[in-house]
Amino acid sequence: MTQRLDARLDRYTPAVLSAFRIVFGLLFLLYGTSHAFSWPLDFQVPMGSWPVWWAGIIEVVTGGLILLGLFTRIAGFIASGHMAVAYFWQHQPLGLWPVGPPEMGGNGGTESILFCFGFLLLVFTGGGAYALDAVRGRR
Amino acid sequence: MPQQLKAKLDSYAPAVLSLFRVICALVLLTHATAHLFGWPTGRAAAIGAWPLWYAGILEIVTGILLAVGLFTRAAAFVASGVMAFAYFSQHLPTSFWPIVNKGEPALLLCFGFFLLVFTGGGSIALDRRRR
Repeated sequence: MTQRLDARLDRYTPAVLSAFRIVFGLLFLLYGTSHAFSWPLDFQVPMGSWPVWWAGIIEVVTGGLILLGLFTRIAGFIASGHMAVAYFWQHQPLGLWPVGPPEMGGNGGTESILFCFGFLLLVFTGGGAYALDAVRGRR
Repeated sequence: MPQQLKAKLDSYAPAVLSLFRVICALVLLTHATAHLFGWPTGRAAAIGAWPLWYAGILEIVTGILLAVGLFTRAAAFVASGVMAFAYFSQHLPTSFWPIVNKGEPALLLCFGFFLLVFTGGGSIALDRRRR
């Protein structure tokens, strides 16, 4: 690809990074609310039960922070580690391959892997152009 | 967060971006082989069957290119489009919520690859050798 197009695309990276962050944060937040508050999908988790309800609380807090872009790197670090734990603890024992749910022979951990590495990337890049962190830094 | 730590983290961003690219590509590749060959899990789509067999072909080509970081931006653009199409045609009709319609991997990969269109493949990619 031409160097000129590469340079033009590069210029939009901070904005696209924020879009990426918002989508990952929002989906993570929805997992949190499903685990902790049974919405939008009722995962049938009793309040206070270990570890899934508590996982939901971590997901709500870090997902909300990542969505807003507030303390993005720290929240990303915690969420990334959280997903690594979830993968090896909750998914890996169900099957070797992450492809597909357990009923189809996979371990259902694809989302955990993608969240884990997506949030790890955010630890190193920060929240991009549209983030509360960017407002915070300007002051 | 101290500025010094921020600068240090920033300096590793291109390498972590490459790691992120490889992981997303491998996830895409395993879904491609599941569609085409029924490996590692699932059932293979019949050759020429619309849309899964064609999706598998597009995924395996873009997945390999993204895994090695060759023509990253172009491959990521195609892969992102395939994932968007997959989300709207295969997942969204079943439910509005991604958690219910099982479309989160498609959604996450769609935006992950869209990011790669703009960032390129990072510091560890064959694209670096091309110029």
